Amino acid sequence: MNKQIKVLAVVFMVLLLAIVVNLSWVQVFGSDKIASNGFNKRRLVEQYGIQRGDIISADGQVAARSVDTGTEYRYQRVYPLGPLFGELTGYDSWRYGRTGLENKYNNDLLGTGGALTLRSLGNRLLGAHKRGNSVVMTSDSRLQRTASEALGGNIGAVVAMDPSTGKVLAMVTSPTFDPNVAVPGKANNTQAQWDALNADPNRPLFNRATSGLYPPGSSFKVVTGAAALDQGVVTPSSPYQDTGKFVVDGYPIYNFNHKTFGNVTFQQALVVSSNIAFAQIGLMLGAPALVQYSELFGFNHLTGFDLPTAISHIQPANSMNKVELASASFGQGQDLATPMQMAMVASTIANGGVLMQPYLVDQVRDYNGKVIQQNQPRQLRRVVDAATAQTLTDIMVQVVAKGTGTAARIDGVEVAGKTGTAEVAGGEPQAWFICFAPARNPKIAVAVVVEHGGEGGVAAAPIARKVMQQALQLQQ
Amino acid sequence: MFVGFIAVQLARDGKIMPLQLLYPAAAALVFFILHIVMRILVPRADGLLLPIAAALTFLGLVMIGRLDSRLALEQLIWIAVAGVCFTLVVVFLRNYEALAQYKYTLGILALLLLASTMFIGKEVNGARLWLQIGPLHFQPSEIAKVLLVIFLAAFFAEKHEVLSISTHRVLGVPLPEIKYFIPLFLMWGFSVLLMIYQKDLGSSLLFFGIFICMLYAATGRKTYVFVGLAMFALGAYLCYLGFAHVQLRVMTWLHPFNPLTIQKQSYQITQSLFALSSGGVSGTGLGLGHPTFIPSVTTDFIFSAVGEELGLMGAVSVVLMYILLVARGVKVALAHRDDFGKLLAIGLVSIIAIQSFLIMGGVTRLIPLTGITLPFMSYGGSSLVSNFILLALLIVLSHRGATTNVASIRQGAKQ
Repeated sequence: MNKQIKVLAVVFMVLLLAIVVNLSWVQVFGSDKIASNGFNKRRLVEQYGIQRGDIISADGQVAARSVDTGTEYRYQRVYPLGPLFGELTGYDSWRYGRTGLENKYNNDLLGTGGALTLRSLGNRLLGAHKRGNSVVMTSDSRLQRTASEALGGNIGAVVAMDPSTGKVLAMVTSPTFDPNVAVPGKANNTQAQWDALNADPNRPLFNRATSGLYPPGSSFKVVTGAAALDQGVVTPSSPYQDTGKFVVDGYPIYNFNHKTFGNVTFQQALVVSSNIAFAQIGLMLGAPALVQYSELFGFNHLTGFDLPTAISHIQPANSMNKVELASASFGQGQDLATPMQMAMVASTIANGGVLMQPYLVDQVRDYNGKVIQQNQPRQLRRVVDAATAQTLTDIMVQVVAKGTGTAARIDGVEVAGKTGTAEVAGGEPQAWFICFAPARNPKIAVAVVVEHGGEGGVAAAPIARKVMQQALQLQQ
Repeated sequence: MFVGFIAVQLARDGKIMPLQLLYPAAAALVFFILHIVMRILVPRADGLLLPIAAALTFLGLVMIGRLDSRLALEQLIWIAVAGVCFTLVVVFLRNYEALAQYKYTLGILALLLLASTMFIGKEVNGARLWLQIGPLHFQPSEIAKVLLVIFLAAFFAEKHEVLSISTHRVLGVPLPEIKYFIPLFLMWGFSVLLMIYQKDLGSSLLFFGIFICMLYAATGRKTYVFVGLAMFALGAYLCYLGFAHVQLRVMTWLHPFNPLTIQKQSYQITQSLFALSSGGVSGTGLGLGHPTFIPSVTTDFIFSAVGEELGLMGAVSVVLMYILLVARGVKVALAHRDDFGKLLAIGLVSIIAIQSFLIMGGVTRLIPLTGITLPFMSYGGSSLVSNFILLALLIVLSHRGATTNVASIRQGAKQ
């Protein structure tokens, strides 16, 4: 009988050792594959066990904070300002994931990223690492509110930047959403609201300011003009003939509303926004130079912003025929630009021809309020000479003083601007306005787009004016 | 165990509550008393069996206390009750041979216990395993398994010679007479019934496994084993075809991460796998993981909780303790002289080996999951009591084995 008992003993050992072998697969060698399954709640629970840091506006308003819900996902987000910073903060939701700064600065907000300094090590050892760091935005809640109210019920976007630093002072897209809806709680079942947001044909979850691509229309003449001046192809007094119709390779080009401006100088052509003059300027400049300058302004490049951005687009020079070159020169054709991109164009001129890197986050602070990361303004590149920028500024001041942009005039402040009225198939044109003020010492540059708003000088310029006025008031 | 309790308190509350250390103190006291009982009544017993069982019980208590602090007190009371049962067995069954005389009584009692749940059982989690007597829930299959082993040991000790004789050959294989296959068929039928009526796959497998092991030990005939395994395969396949809950077990075993079932049918096994995978080599630390996500973690899935919080090192330690327990049990069986004692010992060892394999293999997805407790560690009174009785019997057997051996050596020396 002992023989059988020994056989059984061996069988038992083999069975139990098989468990050890299998365990080392489940727990060590194959564990990552298992643990990364989306249905594993552990990572979410750990993440939501950490009190995320706040997201704070430049003027100290809390746009996002974490509250202890006492549920399984312990700390959850509350957005006290509602939709005001909706697209900027984005949301942090255990059900719908993360967007906006919540996503981009996730590691900072959780307190898991960044350099391991002596202080943060101390915090970790004391158990304080369960509180994340706060993120301070460059954007001011008062200016943000002004821009939002100025845009009103229009569909569109406003981007305001500090031209000398690249700080985004306000960024509004309309319609927008309340990020609180993305955080389902015990008390509020927000499923229906969330579904409605996603089903809305006006796409409130879409950030038009950074990702909306529109034909820039005449606001693009700033780019063409800057290139032509910088290349010495034109001077402010270069003469053009505007007979109301200009034919390129058998294709007729007209001004907006089929106006005729007669004999105009370069300066006058920009002030009255003559498509015919700019078509001629574009043809003189040539496709390679136009595309090269557009790209210096940021077209065809990813901006490298704190939020996801769409790439503004200009047709490659080698595929551009004469008609396309002429159309591109006044912002029609295949040109597409985001409001962010056009704000960068205005900023560059305002900043003496130097493009600054736009950014939305100023500081990261630990939970004691100590600054652990200070973002510095960064120069991207010189786009045009200071003299070119100066000349263009003078002309843009004329646009607001007596041209198409008079709706942006502010008493006692010199404003430089350019309207855009981009014609689109089916519907009213897209209304644009790009501007900066004060013209001699710019503190703010603004780009406004109103979808199907009509004329830029009528629909967009007044919105830009309110934003500039508030910004200048706040800076006093 | 004390360290474990302190670690759990620190992780949970950030401070130590001295009053709660009474739990491990009380558990330690129970085992200390059992040790004294053993030293007095069965001094020649194997010295490792009790400590290994104690280690498993302590670890179980720590984990239960960590998972659900209310259950720790209940578990502690059951440890004490089980200790009393242990003592009674050691006191009254030192002459375990007496059990052989009552083999049919015990066998019938085992059957009645199992059958009882079919008629008056209470269904919990889709399986009818429980009897309710007043406020107490009682799982008859836990007690029945020990009774069954006693019955089979006595039965085979008496009949194994008859069962081993081959009288004719089929296809060149020597076979015993057909009538000697009858016990095998009966047991098979019984296991299948258990599976069908109680939906208790775990117990069904355990009983059939014990039976095959003991039959093989008694007769040494591989024919029985092969026929038995073939019948098992056939039974399992028929049940797979016939019963949705068996199909489900197989499906969740093969495809646990199927998104259609992961939140429902395969929730338990995947939660167990997530727990184990997050444990890694060294574990998250006691009280710092999330084993409470696993349904019935204090009973069937306690091994996964160990794997998560104590890691591979902790889990492998547990497996090694069972291996050690089985090894010592096998030693007892080998050292014994009479057939009944040998068969009884190897039967009891089979319970521990098969049961721990079924549930540890189940929760780690080595084999399809069958609900059954992990001996000594899982929360539950019936399980603790029956395993302590099992342990007491093994200890008595080891004492008697050693005593008779010493006696015979002395006799040999005299001659």
